[in-house]
Amino acid sequence: MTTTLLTRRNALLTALFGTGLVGLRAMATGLPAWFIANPRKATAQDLECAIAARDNLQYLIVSVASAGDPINCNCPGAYEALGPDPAAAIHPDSADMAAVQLQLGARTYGAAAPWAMTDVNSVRTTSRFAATLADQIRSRMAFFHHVTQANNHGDQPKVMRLMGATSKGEMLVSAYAKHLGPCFGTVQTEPVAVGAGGNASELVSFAGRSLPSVSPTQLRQLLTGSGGSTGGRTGGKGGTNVLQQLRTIRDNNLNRLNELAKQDGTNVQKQFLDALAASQTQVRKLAMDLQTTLGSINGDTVEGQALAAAALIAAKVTPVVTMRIPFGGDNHTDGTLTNETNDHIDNNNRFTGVAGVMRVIQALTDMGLQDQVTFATLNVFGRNLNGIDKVMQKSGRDHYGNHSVALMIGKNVVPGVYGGVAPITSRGTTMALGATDIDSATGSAVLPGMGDIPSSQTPVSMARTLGAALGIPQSALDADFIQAAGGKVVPAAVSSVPT
Amino acid sequence: MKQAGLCAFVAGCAWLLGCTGEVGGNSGAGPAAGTTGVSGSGSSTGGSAGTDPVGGTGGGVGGTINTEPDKPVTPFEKVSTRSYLRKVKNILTGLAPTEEEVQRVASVESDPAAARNALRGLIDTWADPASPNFREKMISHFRNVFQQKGFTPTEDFKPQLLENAGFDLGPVGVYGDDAFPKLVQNLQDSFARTALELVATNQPFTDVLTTRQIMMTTALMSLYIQIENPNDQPFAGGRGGTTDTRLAWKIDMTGVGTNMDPTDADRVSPAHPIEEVVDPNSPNYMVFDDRPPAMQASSFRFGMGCMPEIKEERGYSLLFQRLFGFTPRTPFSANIECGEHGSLPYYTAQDLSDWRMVTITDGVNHPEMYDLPALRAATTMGLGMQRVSFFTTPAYLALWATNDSNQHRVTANQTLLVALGQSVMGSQDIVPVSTVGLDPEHATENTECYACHSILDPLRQFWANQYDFNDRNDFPARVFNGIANPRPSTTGGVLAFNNVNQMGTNIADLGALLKGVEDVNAATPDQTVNRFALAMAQQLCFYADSAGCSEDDPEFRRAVQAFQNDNYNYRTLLREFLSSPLVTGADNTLTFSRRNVVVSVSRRDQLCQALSNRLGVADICALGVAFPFQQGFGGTGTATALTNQRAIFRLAGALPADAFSRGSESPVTSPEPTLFYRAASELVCETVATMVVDVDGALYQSADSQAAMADMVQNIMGYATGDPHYAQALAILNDNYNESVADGRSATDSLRNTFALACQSPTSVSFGI
Repeated sequence: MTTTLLTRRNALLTALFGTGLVGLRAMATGLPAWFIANPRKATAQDLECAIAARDNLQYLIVSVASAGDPINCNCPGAYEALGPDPAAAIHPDSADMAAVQLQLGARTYGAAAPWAMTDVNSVRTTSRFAATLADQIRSRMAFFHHVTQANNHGDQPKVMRLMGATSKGEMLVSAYAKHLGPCFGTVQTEPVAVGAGGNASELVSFAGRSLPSVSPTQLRQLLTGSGGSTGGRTGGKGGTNVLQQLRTIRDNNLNRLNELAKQDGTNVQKQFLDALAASQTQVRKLAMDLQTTLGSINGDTVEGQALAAAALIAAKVTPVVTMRIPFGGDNHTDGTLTNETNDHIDNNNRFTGVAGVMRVIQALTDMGLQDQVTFATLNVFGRNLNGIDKVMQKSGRDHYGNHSVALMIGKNVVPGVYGGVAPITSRGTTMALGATDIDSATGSAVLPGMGDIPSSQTPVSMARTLGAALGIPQSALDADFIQAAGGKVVPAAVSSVPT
Repeated sequence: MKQAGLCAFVAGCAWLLGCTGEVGGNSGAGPAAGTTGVSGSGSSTGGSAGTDPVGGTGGGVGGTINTEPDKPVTPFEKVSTRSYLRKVKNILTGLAPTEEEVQRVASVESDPAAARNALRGLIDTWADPASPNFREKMISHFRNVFQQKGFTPTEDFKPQLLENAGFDLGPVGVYGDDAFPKLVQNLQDSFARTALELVATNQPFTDVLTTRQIMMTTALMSLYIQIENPNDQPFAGGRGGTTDTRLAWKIDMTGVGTNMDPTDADRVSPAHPIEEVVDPNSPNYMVFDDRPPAMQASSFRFGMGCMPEIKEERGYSLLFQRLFGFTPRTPFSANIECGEHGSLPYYTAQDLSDWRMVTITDGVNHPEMYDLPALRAATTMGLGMQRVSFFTTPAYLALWATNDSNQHRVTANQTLLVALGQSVMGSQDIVPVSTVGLDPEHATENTECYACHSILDPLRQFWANQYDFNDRNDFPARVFNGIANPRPSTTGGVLAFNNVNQMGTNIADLGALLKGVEDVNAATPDQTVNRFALAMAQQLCFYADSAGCSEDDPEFRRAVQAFQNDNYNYRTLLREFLSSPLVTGADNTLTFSRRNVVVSVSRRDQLCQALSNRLGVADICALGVAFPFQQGFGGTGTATALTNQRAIFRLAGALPADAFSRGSESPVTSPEPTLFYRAASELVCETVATMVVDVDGALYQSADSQAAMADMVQNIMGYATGDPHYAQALAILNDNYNESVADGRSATDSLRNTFALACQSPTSVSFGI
C-alpha cells in the first residue's frame, strides 16, 4: 500500500465518516461544521464565507413537480406574447382566473387573478395570511421563462440536472447545497426532500447518491414525538402517547443505565455512551425549540411541507429543501380547465397554487426567516399554452418542453418577468407559443434568434441567475456547469451578482 | 461531453482531475437509484450511471482504516468477554447470549486460545443455516454485499422492462394487491438467497462468482423472460407498417359497470383462469380477465369513457403489467377510453414465494412469460442473455444502470468493488492483453485518462458485447436522438487486475477470472491471499465492526487464509473471523493501532431483527411487508391497509441502514448515535412496547411484571443472569416501573414504559457495549 493511496483513502474516508458529532456541535454553536472540526485550518476565505457572506447567502426551498403542472400558462409573462400579431395563450374562463394587471417592480404584467394575491376570493386568503404578506412577496417575486426540453414525467431528475448541463451530472439543488451548506454550517450539506413521498421522480440525488425523502409527518414524529413530558405533539402512531408522557422518568433511568454500562467500560465504550446521552439531550432540545412549528404539522400537505421546510432551515439541518405545490397537475383531461383553476385559487383549501406559495413565505416569516430563504419552482416541463385542439377547446393541456417558468421569491430577487413567450413556428405547431430568447442585459424577452441567451440556454441562464440570487459567487457557480452549457446570468433579475 | 467521466467514475481514478467531465448527459437512464421505493423511504445509496460517475464517498480499507478521523486512536483496552459475546451472538442471530453460553467462554478466559475455541464452538451453533434467525441475518447482509438493493423500481427498470410499460406505472402509480412490491422484493432477495443456499449446502463460496443457478420464484422467472421479449412498449416500433407484429391479446373489461365504478350494481367481472388463458383450445385463450383486487378494491376504477367489452391489446410489455396487477390504460394513446387501474394480479402469493434454484442455460428455451402453469413446474430456463453471478441480475443492472455514454463502465467497476473490494486504479502496473473496447479518445498512452481506461474499457466489454445500453438484448442498429447500439460481432472481454491478465470468451467466463485474482499486498509470499476471499472478509468486518480491518493485519489475513484453505467454506470464515480479536476486541491487533475498537449503534436491520428474534414477533418493524397501493405524484395515498405496519415501518425507516455507495470500496455502516437515530430508535421502542406487553400471546404480561422485567434484562438488554450488572439493571427497571405506577399509570403502561427503557438501553441499541 503506497503512501499516496493511504492519503487519498484517508481523505475519502474523512468525507464519509468524518462528521461525528460535529454537525450537532455546529447546530448548537451556530458556527460552521468545518470550522468546529478544525478551526486552525480555517482560511480567511472560509471565514469570509462564514461571517461576511451570510448577509447575501440564502437558503433555498424549491417546489418541484414531475406532474408538469400548468403554472406556466397563467403567470405573468404568459399574457404578452412577442411578435407581430401573435396568438394568445389560452386561460381558464373562470372569473377567479380572470386576467388582471400585476405590478412587479416598475412594470405591470398581465396575470391570472390569483397572482395578484389581493383578491380574497381568488386565492382564498381569508384570514389565513397576514395583510402585508402579499406586498412582501410581490416586492421580491420574479418569473423566469425558459424551456426544459423534457417531455416525460420521468424526466424530472434530468431537468434537475438541466438535461446534462450540470457538471458531473449533479442535480442543481445539490450543486447549490454544496456551496451553501458549509457556509451556513448546517448539520448536513445534502438537501432534504419533504414533498417527494413515494414519487421516485421527485427524489433528490447528491453526488450520485439518491437521498431518502422525509415527509413532514415523519419529521414531526421524530422530533415532536420526542418532545418529552413538557409538551409537544403526542399523537404518534401505535398508542405511544402515554409512553411519551413518561419520558422524563425513562430519561432519568436511562441515564442510570448509561452510568451502569460505563462502570467497567473501556474508554471507547465510555465515549460512545457519552455521545448516546448527548444525542438524547439534543433531541429534547430540538424538539423544544421547534415544538410550535413542527407540532402544527398535521399532514404531508403543502402546509405541512411548508412548515417542515421552515423548521429544517431554522434548525440549520440543511441548506436546501424540496417540496411540491400543485398548480393543476397532469391535466391532459381537464374540462373547462377546472383542475387548473381549482389548484391555482386553492378552491379546496389545501394550500395549492398561489396560496401554497404564500403559505411557504408565511411559514418563513413566522420564524423570522423571510430574508434568509429564497423560494423557487423547477418543474419537469410546462404545458401547452395554445396551438393544439384540446387547449383551444379548454379541455386540457399536454406536456410541453418548449416552455416552463421558474418562480423566484427572495431578498436578492428583483421583481419582474424575465424572458417570455412568442410563437416558435420552427419548433412546434404553427403559432404555438414557447419560450423566447432573452437579452441578458435587460432580461427582456426577444424573438427567436435575436437574444444573446438563446431559448435553448434559458434553463442554464435561469440556474445561473437563481444561483446569483442565492448569493453564490459566479466564479464558484461556473464549475457547476459543463463548458458547453452556455447561458448567462441575468443581472437585472438580482440585486447584485456576486463575483 | 462524453470523454469524461469515463475516467472519473471510478474512485481509484477520481484523482485524475484532468479527465473529469460529463457522462451521460440527457441520454442517461434516468434518475439515480437509491431507494427501494415500493414502500417508502429508503436509505441505500446507490445511483445510476447516467449522471455522476464519480463514486460518492470513496474510501478504502487497505491500510488506514480510522473510520472516525475526528476521534484519535486511543490505547487499546481489552473488551470484556460478556461484552463481545453480546456482540457476536447478536451479529449472527439477533439474540442475547445465555448464561450457559457465557460460561462456556468465561470459564476458560484465562487461556485466550481456549476461550477462542469455545467461542468457535458457539459460532458454529449460532451460524446454523437451518435457523430462521441466522438466515434472515445473512440474507440482509448478502443483499448489501452483492448490491442487490437500493434501486427505485418504477424508475430504474425503465431500461430493462421499458418505459410506459413494465414497472413504469405512469402518473397514477396504482396497482392491485401486493404482487408488485413482492416481485420487487423477489428481485432484491434472489441473489442473497442464492448465496445463502451455497452456504447451506457447503459449496465453495467462490461459486457466487460463477453460478448459473439462481434462486428464483415463478414470478421472477417470468420477469427474466419478459426482459428478453421484444421492445413493444406503446411508443416503440413493432407495428411493421400496416402489420402490427406485436403480441395480440385481449382483456375482458365487461366488468365495467354503467358508471365505470366498482360499486355499480350491474358490474360483473368474469374470471379467466391462467390455465384457460394459455390453452389454445379454450375459448378464453389469450383473453385475460380484469377483476377487482382483493386488498384494495377501491383502485379498481376505469374512469373516463370506458365501454364494457373485451378489448384488443398489443404487446408483451403491457401484458406483463397485467400479470402483477396493473392494467394499463386502453387504448394507449391520447384518446383514452379506459384509465389504468389496479386489478387482481395473475401472479399468486405462491408464485411470489416458491423459491428454488433455477438453472439458467444458454439459448432461448423457455415457456412464454405469461405461461405461469409451465413456469411453476420449471427448474431450468434457457435464456438468450447469459445470466451468471451477481453482476448480471436484473436488480444489479437496474441499480447500476448504464447508458450510451457510460457504456457499462460503472457496471464493470462496481463488479470489481463487490468481488475484489477494489476499483480500477490508474496506478496499476499492468498492460492488458487486449485493448479492444478502449475508448478512442483515451487510447493514447501517457495521457492522464489512459491508465484507467486501458483497464476498464476492455473489462466492460464483457457486458457491452452481450447487453445493450438498456441491459436488454435488442441492440438497436438505429435509434432516435441517441447513439446506435448495433450488436457486436464478438463476445467477451479482458480482466487485467493484479496477477490476472486474461481474456474471457463471454461474461460467463468473468467469474472464474475474478476468482483467480490474488491480493498483491502481502508482506511475504506465504501471506498471499485470494482477493475475493479478502473482500468477503472485509465486508464481514464492516458488518460486524462498522469499520474496515487493516488488510495487512496478520490476524485479518489469518482468518482470510483459513477461509481460503477450507475450500472457501463461508461458515469457516464466519467462525474464524467472528472469533477473532478483530471482532471481539479480546486482544490487540494491528488494526487497532489504526482505529479504535468501534462501538456502533444497532442499525435498522440489526435493531429490528434483534427485537423480532428476541420477542418472537416476525418482522416486528414490517421491513419485509410488501405494502400494496402507493400513488405517484407525491405519494399522497391514504390507503388504510396494514396501517399499523406502515406506522412502525415509517419509524424504522428513519434509522440508518447498512448501504453502499457508487465507486466506494467501503460500505456505508454509520456507527454514530446521531439525534435522528436517537429519536427514531426511541419511537420504535415505544411502538414495539405496545405490541409486546399485555396483548394476546405477547411475551410480557403485567400480571407477572417481575418475570417480565427479569426477561427484559436478559434478553433485551443482554445482561445474562451471572453478569455483574444484572442485579443493578433489574433494580433500575424495577424503579422505572414503580415510578411509572407512582405517576398514576396503569400496570400495563408502566410495564410498557419499562420495556421501552430496556429497548433503548445502551446494550440494546448498540454493538460493542
